[in-house]
Amino acid sequence: MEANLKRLLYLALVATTAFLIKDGLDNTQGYWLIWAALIFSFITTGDTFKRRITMIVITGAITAFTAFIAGTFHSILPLLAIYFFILTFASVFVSQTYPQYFFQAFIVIIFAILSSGIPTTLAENGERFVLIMSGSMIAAFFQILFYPYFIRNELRTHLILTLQQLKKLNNEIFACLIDPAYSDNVYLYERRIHAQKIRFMRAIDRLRKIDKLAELKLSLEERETYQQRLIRLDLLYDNMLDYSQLRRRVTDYTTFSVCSQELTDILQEINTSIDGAIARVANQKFYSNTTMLHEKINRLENNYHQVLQVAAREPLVFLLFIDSLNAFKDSMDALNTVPLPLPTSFS
Amino acid sequence: MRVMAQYMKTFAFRRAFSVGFTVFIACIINYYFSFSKEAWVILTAWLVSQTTRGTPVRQAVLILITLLIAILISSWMLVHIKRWDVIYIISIIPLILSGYIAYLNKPQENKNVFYAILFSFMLIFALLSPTKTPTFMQDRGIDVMMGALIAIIAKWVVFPIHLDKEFSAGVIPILRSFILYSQALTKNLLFFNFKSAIMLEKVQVEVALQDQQAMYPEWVYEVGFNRGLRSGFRFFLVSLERTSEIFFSINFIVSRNIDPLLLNDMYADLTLSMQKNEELLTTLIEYFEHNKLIDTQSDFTSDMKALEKTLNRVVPGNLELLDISPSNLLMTALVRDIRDLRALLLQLVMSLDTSRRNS
Repeated sequence: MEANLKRLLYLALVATTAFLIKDGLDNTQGYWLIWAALIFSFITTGDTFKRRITMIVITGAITAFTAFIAGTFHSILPLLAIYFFILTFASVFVSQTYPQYFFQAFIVIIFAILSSGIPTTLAENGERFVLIMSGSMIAAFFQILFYPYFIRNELRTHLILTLQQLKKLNNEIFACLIDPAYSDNVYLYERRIHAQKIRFMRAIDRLRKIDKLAELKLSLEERETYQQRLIRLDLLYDNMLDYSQLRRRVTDYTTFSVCSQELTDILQEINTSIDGAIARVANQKFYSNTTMLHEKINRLENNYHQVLQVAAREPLVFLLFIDSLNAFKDSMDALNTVPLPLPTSFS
Repeated sequence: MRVMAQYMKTFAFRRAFSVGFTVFIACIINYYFSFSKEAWVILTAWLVSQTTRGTPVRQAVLILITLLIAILISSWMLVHIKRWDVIYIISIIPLILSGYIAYLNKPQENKNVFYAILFSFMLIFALLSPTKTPTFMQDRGIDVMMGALIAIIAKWVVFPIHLDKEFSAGVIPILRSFILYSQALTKNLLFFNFKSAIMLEKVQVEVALQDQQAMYPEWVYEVGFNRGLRSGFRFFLVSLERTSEIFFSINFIVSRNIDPLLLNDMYADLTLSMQKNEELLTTLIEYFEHNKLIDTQSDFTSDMKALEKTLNRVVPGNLELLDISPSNLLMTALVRDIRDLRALLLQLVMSLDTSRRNS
């Protein structure tokens, strides 16, 4: 099942189950179960199935314990204030030092604060502890939806995500070359490129981590194909940044108007070829190749020989640009020859 | 003691202490002055203290508005919708939607997703928390505003942020990673190996450029950032981004296996130019670390002239001949990147405050 749909189904199942159990329990504190189940369902840290379950359960245990303490201290102000200072200090420090655990630290504090604001007896406080743990168990239980082919699905999802980010980066780069407004709004366009580069780097970083974990379960041949895939993606990114240098090297932006149609066509064909790579990873039967991209680059090259060599102040920068585009086309072809992963990896 | 003092200067420690102290004060205020008798003062103070360095007041106001809207809507629902199953269904929908959107677009990248999630959670909390006063809507609203005020004041008073120091702390790791990456590239010019030290250093550059994993001052780009510092800081960051692009471009060119004979001819000049670039990066680090601009006697033009002279000697300058020789074109591209890098770094060094010159 599509990973995104699985995620939607998971959230719906957790929410429905939590509400149904709360109604069945008929407990005045049942809302703790609902809060816990819903908030823990947002945890996505953990690149293997076991790690994710462990993360949810451990966070649930810590949350239940800290909420119990806060509930116990709620009427003893000095203890409560000092407790919150220490707890907040620790959670903020952890989330600053290990940003991947920001959300877990967030959950711990929020439940402790809520617990301190809803006074109760010690027995009911104990019930609260059990309800929070139960909520985390509901969130952990339905993770079973993701169990089949966990790593393979994570790899595939993040591979597709990485390629999508690469495509968006390409759009931002070509916007600088095609939009006449670039020269008057350099900061705005550069900001967009920066934001997109960050998204790509995050995506490929996550892919590297999952790939490293997957290595433990794969054969030597499969490991090499994943490694190849990562190297190719990395080089595609570097390639893109290489041809993006044109935007800074051309001093007279009106030069781009001479070849704007060719640039627009190349943009579309690069996006089509990336879509083709995505379709291939998603196991679709039909996907586009780089033939049209090759044709459009040749058209730009013809324009270069006939017009740009004379019209441009520095024709050499266009020559370097065309060479980089050709290299990109070859890299896309190489990426498409890397064998696809086999459905042999379980969680 | 020195180690402790160093530790206490780190951003993580200062922020943790500041937020902890804010919650401590909010806890006391909530105990004595809360209108709703719940924990909204503490909750708001903690949430509002989670703002980034760039525009804390603006973000505080946005969080405050989000909480007030959640309280308003939840109060309306509690008064007008009597059936709890309907309330459950209505409250689940924004949560599921925001959770799904968060899965697709990480909240750290898109602040609107963060506010959507915050709203969804606060709505559920406000709906399901037992109310203690008949005028709970107004009381919760007042408590939320008190909590926000506590957090905003605490941000100015407890370990207030010094933007220049935070900026330096964010920029130095990037500059250091550039130097190491440059050294790895230079060392591996003659033999490019994907699995070598180059890849490790490249990943470190990528890490340094991300605010999630390092101290990259992303907050400089926030809408409403200090107008006086904005243009200078942004110019520097944009220039650093361009520097990283050139380094990655060099990485790409080198990975395409330039003719080894060509590389051999140019190796000495290439290495010298890369080292000069590293010197400029070191100058920048010294400035940000010790607030001093080192007056260097190094010449940053003659090595580039020598490099281009060697290039003209080994590679034809004619565009038609370059077009038909991939290796010559690659070498030309490499030298062009190094030249662009030099221009960029010189521009950065020249933009520094020269009144802090130190011989």
